[in-house]
Amino acid sequence: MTTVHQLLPAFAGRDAIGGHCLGVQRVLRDAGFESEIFAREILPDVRGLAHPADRFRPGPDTWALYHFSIGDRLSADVLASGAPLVIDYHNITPARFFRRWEPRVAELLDNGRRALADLAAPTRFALADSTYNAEELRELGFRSTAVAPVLVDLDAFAIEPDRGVLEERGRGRTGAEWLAVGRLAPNKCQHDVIAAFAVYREVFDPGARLVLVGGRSAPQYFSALTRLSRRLGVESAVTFADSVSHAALVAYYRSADVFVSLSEHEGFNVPVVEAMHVGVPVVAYACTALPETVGAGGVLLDDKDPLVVAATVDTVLRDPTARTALVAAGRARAADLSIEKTGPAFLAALRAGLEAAA
Amino acid sequence: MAAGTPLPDDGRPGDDLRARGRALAADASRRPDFPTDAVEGARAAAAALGVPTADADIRAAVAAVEEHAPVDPEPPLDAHRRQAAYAKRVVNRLVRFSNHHLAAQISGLGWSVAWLGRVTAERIEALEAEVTDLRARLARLESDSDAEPAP
Repeated sequence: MTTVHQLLPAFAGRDAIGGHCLGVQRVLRDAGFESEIFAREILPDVRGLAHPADRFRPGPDTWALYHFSIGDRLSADVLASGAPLVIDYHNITPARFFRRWEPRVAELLDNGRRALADLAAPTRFALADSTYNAEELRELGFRSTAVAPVLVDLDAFAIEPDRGVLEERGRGRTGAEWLAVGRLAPNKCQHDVIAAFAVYREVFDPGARLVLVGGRSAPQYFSALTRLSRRLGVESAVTFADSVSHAALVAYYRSADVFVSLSEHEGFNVPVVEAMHVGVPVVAYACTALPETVGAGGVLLDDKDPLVVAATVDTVLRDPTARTALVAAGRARAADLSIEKTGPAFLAALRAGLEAAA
Repeated sequence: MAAGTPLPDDGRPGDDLRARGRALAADASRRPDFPTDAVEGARAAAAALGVPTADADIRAAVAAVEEHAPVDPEPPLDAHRRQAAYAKRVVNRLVRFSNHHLAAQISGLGWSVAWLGRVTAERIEALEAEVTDLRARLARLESDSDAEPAP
């Protein structure tokens, strides 16, 4: 039996790569592969689902599927293990976004890009979440690449939403509910979302509210976001919800009227897929892999001037017919990216790669 | 700001909404009650938090310095492990007086640098205006002398 073990620096159930790993494991096991997950850091929500990375002992027929999104000493350990290497590339945020806020993180990101380039020669073949990511790999010297989207388990959204969050969002509601989901990070440009939201309240809907769901991976940037919402006079209308439980996330999606992403760097972007699946209209800035992920399922903008974003959101929310058509297009796009469709595609890409590289 | 991907109109629901949104933005900005100052303020505040680019003007650079000037002496104390979070709180309490003292000085330095930047920007802008004016006067003088009939 062929064994494909997955390795990653940090394994968390509530992030896109963690969810993808669990999806890949399910797809591989259903197809008769043996597959375990190994990580250097295993977060409490997935303890018991993975093994510590130092216990990775590959057998003669074992492949190492290494999820790459940041530089980590695990790369060297995986290479030293002698297992034939397959990279699943989820992109590395360019360091320029972090340099002014978190110089140490910027250094890690730069190192990550260098480490990735070093892996080009020993890697048998590489998978990428999007054609955007695959192009980056080819530029770094990876010869054999294939595109296989992130596996998103949309069935997980069929659960009961968190009642507390639903009630809290329903209380005192007097206008549109904006939602943005993703780590609070400079490349995700939540500052542009807050600016567009402030203009929206000023020009179109003074009762609107905004929720930003996502962990705070850049504390300085987070402080700047809170100062910005104060400076623009929207402090009381903006909620920084931090990292939340899955039930709470479902409740935030269910409460939202519109999902806004103005990110300047994405290798795929799982939250837009989730929003489209739940039926929240998506307005997104067309940058990096976002046009590929959103497809025809949302409004893509080539300009993220706050007034243009605010006016587009207003157009979407004020025209029920157009909104319904957009929601239907979003649901259709999300269905294309559901694990039922992407799982077999991922497996086919992996099998083809393994056979070619064997 | 990174350039957005050029978007052709393919007749998808989003394409029509994008065009209508742009038209609504243009209409709104022509309304007599349009809050120009608030919208310009939001644009400037968001631009100050973006990735610094080489072609940004000196005012944008000063805005970036001002953004970083207030140093927060309170470090984030979150941690995955409860013991680690507790240890961070204890250490923070022990060194708080020192952190606040340092942060106050660094913030002061930041504000001074921002002030220097603002004064320098004003001088540069005044000089640029003067140079533009002198160039225009010179061009006028040159064209006048060309137009004068030869003695």
